[in-house]
Amino acid sequence: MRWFGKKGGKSMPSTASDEKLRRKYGAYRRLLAADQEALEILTDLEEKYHGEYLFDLQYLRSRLRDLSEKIAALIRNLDDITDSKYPQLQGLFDRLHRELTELLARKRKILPDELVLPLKDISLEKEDSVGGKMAHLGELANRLDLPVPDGFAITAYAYKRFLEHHQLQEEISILLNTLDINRLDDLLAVSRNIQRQIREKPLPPFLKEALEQNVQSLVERHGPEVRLSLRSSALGEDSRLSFAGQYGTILNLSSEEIGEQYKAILASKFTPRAIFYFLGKGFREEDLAMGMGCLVMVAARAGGVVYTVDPGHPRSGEAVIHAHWGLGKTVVDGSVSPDFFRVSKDPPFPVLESRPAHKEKMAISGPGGGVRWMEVPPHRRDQPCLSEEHLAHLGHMARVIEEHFGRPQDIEWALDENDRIVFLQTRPLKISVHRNERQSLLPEEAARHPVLLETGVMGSPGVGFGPVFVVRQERDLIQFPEGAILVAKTPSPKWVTVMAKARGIVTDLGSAASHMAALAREFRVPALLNTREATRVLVPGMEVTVDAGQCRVYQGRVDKLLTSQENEDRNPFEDTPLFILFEKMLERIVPLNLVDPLDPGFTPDACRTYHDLIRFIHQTATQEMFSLSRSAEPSSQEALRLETKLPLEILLVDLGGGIREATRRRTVKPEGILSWPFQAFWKGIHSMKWPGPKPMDLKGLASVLAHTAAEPGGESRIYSEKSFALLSADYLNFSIRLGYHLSTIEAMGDPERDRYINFIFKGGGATIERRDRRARLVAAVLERFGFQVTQKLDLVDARLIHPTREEMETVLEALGKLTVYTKQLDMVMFNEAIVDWSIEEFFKEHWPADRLSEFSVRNSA
Amino acid sequence: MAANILIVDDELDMLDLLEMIIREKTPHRVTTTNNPLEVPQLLKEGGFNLLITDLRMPALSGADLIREAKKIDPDLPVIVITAYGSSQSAEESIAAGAYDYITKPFRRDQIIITINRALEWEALRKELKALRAKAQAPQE
Repeated sequence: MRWFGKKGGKSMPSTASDEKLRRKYGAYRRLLAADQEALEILTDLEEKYHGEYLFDLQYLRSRLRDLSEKIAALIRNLDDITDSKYPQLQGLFDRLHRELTELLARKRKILPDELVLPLKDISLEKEDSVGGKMAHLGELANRLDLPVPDGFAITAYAYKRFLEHHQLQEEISILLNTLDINRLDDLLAVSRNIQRQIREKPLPPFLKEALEQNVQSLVERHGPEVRLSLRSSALGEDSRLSFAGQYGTILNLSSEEIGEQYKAILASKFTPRAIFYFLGKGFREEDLAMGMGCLVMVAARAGGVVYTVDPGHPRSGEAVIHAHWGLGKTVVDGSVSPDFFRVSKDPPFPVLESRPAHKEKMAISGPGGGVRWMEVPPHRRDQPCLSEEHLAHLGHMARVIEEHFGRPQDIEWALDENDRIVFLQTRPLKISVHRNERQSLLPEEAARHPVLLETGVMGSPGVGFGPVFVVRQERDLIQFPEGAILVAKTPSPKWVTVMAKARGIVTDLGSAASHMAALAREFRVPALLNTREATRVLVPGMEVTVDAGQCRVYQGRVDKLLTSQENEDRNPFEDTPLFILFEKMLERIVPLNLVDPLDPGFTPDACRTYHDLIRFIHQTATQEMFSLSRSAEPSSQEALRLETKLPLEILLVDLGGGIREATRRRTVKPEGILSWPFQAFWKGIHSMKWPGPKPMDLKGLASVLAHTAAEPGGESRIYSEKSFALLSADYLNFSIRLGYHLSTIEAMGDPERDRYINFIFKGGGATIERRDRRARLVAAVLERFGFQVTQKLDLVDARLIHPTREEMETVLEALGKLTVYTKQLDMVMFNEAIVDWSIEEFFKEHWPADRLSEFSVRNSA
Repeated sequence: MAANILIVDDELDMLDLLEMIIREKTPHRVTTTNNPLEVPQLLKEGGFNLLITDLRMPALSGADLIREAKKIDPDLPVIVITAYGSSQSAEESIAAGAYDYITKPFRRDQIIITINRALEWEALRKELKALRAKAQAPQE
């Protein structure tokens, strides 16, 4: 153990426990940095998700990497601070990280499966087996009991087994490797080669058998002359690898042709572009994700398409139908001008518009196979293909099908020879919705709606209207009305309890990277933060419109902005595979389940997402740090002591840059302390008249307060308790024992971090009523300085977030004064009225009004 | 005026999304391919007013592609899409003759603005060329 440094005063006296404190403090600062960066990445991700950005997989992977690094750093540093008190966190993080990485690796394994599945056994759950098209069709048949063609699906697993059987996967990989990628001709040659091989190789016996069995069932049910169609059904997304030159569907096949044509469709996928694509990524299992459907051909008198919403007017509640005589494929591939109808989706499903086309030619199944054109009989050319009944039926079914899948659908149908509508296919409808451009207000409108605030940053997008409700303390939340606009000084994740009721949020301080902002985005509540003067300008009850995107708050209700927001429909990207992937990724990252640290559920095991981890770690670390000075036990023999005439024994630990280079002495003068938070606080303490002894009787309160004598001798035994201060240049963690009181102040003044002041005050001695009153005084004073305060009996817990440096110095000085003031008043807190008087007295005597207005503190009066 | 735009990107998602927004927000026609090797042929067949290409693709880098494209059609504006966190190669592509570059992720509005500017530029150049030719034509 070193007591003193070398002669000449180089090193400070220090102990093992001091070293430990310094290490923890270092870890804490690194933790705060990582916390901030992690929240920034979260915000960035959400911005890209909500904000009409085009991004790619690389971006997602790169951000995930960054975020995971930050969380790993958070865990490491928390371990240092808490001495590895939370080992569960690592396991939880590892699991989430693995899930997310796998998600973005986009590997799709094709699991062992049936080779062929009859349609009656297929529903949406089988999508990974048979692909989207067939899964949806099965769903229509088996869950909605709608008429569909009879048939079966060949699974992706069958495809995989086929390639494996002939070792085609290796063959393809070899060919890819020998390819000179700079030669387009080579690509063409390889493409032809692979296609030929697939077509020429026989189906493996097990697949041949399974196919034949199922085709035979169809023959038994529909006769040997049954005509069939083959439709490829890609897994995941329709557009994957759907390049020009591929067959999607072959119609009008005989039962003997199925095997060959199955291979033909598979082969046709290997276009030069597809080959090129595989070059970049390698030919992997997920590229085999191809199912295929075999369906009995409908002898279609007419066919076509239903969109379950009108793409031009998606909110109109109407469906649009295109129809033509013969096979509906002509409507789908655009080779004819079809009839057009608009139908209501509400009973009785009336036809709202009817525009029959002039139909000269139609497509039908040729007798020997294939499809051919035929002239439309003259009397039918201008006749609508569908009767009102059919149209009403389609309108009705559009509604049913759309509701079942939960989103607009693009449905292919046919009218069979029994005059019955049969469904051939359904898939999500790609709507191009034009988002309304940002509306700006005309001068007359602007006059009616003065701009109250035009500053701040958007924490969550959108426009909201309602009456202002100011939240100062957590207890105000209980009264938060439905549909109000929440206005407060600093954001708090505790507001989650009212998020569903709020139409908007406006704060003085805060940033888009705060927990509350993330919650607001999740709840889709418009939030405008860091306006600096919201609580000054927005008065309770005032009706306002908040436009978070434009960073404005208007007086009154601005209908134009509100309705333009309603018209901003679904993001058309939402159905794309990349977006869906992004959504799944964000589900494991963004939602915050751990909101309230006081909730008994605020534990590591309750963490479900990255955000939960971040929050838990941050909260736990700040708690640990805060209590460091309360539980510190530097041996008083070696610790540095503050030199002061005040009857306080204050021991100091320098965490780094807090104390001027040492002397050989074990005491430090206040001037030798470099920590500016400490200096500010000390200024406050030092400016107060030190409280004297208890008067036996009261001769006016003024006399009590005027009593000046410090009596080190008389009262010093009360002050023999030690107080500990941990200091760095811009940090203070100070637990003061003053008589019966224990207060702890933690002030983080680092300009790079979010600054804060935490303060806990617990009184002792006297009756419970007096302790309560004393606490009430402390709470009331703190509130006026902008702290968020919780008071319970004799305990006051307060937090000040995002102060500027000047504000911190001011508040710390006030806290210094308050600390002494409460001691002064101990003897006189004998009724409630005194408390109120004392609060005012504090400000009158010790904190003049002009100093109070230095920063935007609210008085409710 | 509706223009013909050719887009090359080996990321299928990006092709889909770009096509979608251009169709949604502009009157322009879009042709897409994931294979840069096809581009010279497509350009020779003619009729494109703008080429949008990713910078890093297998077989042919964006910069090489720009040079190839400029040989076939020197007036064709090229917009380059660069990846998250790589500004150096973007500058190289400008050096190779690209009109502008845009970094992923980008807002939809941004790409539309850049496309429109590039097309305006192309139209201006064409007009300038025509005027020059006229001015230099032998007077009768």
